[in-house]
Amino acid sequence: MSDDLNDKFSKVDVFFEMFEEMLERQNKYVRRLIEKELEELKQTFSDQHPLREVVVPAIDERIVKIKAELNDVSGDTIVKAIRKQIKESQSDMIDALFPIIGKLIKKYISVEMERLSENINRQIDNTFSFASIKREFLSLFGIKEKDQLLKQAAAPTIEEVYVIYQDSGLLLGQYTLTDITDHDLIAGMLTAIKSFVKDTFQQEGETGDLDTIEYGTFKIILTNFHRYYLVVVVSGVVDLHFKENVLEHMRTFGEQHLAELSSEALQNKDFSSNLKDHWQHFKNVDPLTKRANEFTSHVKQKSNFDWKFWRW
Amino acid sequence: MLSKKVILIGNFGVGKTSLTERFVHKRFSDEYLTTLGVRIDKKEVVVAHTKINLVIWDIAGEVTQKKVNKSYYLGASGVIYVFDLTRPVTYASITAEISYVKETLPQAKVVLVGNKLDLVEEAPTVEAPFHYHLTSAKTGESVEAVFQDLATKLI
Repeated sequence: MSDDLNDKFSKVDVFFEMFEEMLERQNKYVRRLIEKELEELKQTFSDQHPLREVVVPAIDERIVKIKAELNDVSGDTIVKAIRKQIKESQSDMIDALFPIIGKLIKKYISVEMERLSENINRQIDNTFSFASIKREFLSLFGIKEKDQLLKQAAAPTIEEVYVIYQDSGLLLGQYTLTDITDHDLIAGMLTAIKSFVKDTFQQEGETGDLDTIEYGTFKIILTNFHRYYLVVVVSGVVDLHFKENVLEHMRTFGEQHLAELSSEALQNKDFSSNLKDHWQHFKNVDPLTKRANEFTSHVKQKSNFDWKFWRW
Repeated sequence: MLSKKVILIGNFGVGKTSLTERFVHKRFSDEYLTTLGVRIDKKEVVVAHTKINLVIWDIAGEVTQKKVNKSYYLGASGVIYVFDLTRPVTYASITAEISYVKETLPQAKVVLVGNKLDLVEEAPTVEAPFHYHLTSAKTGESVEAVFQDLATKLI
């Protein structure tokens, strides 16, 4: 029994030896395969040319893709993003810009204040003049002296006067205190602008016309007189009273120099000397003086009182 | 000095503004053409010892002159009608267009100009009511002669 068992055990041993040998062979086979794979990989990485062929196209493809994605994102998206960023950080923006803009504003205000101050000083220098007495007199009626000084500092000045033939827009005369640009071109453009505004905004049955153009401190007053435009360019503060005075002066010029001329006579006429004579004596009579003059002339007409004698 | 208003008209894109720029020193921006429909320049010309001040109204181009603001025509002593030698559509109805101009401005002197000569190998034959100048605003060819011719007719 024991021999038989021993024999069986010996057979199992043989079996195990065979199995061990088989495993060993399999192990060697797998090891050889791994070594071969490693050798091939090593060969691939050691050889640069095939690697470049694989890697470079892949990188190029990636770059193209990134560029395309950037294009989709750029333009409006970036602008919108910047706008959003600015909007969300307005206070930061103001903090950053204020030192620059603030200085500019400060500079502008200081220059303007200097000019105003110079004008007022000039007025104060004339304290004992007739003007100052007049100011004090007016202050009795509630018109403050400082208001009068400020008004005088910003007094309107006639800069240019033109006579323009309506049909052609040709300049027939000019009176100018400045040398701003070509007066023929200004006359033409003003005529074109007038026509343009009339054609654009005139409604049926309406007879309106462009009578004032404002630009900065300049005001251009235009009026029609028969077949002409009379144009006055004024700088400074133009109040309604001054404008009325200018229009009245324009009308008297028209009556004196333009009313009687025929169309043909006009084309060859130069009104420059007439304009100079008429406008160099232009005075802006303030309302109080005007009313006083009107009153005096009215009383003179109504009475036989000897005013000359009265003055004595 | 004698001043005369001259208007430059014609279809759009025929080179009116380029002709003016060739002839005068440009003063006002082209923007006036698109906003007001007109841009004004001037040039002094001497004809037979007489100086003439040409105030040139470069009027924005329209397919037909009937569409042009009539007030821009008013008072014009001279008219330069420009067409494009490379685009037959700009001179196809030239006789009718000139008749309209003559009706509107019976006293005005009219000069016809075929522009863009530099772009054609041979100038096409245009059925115009009278003689026309061939010019090139690009090279400057005959541009001076056009304005000189008109100034001569104006005195």
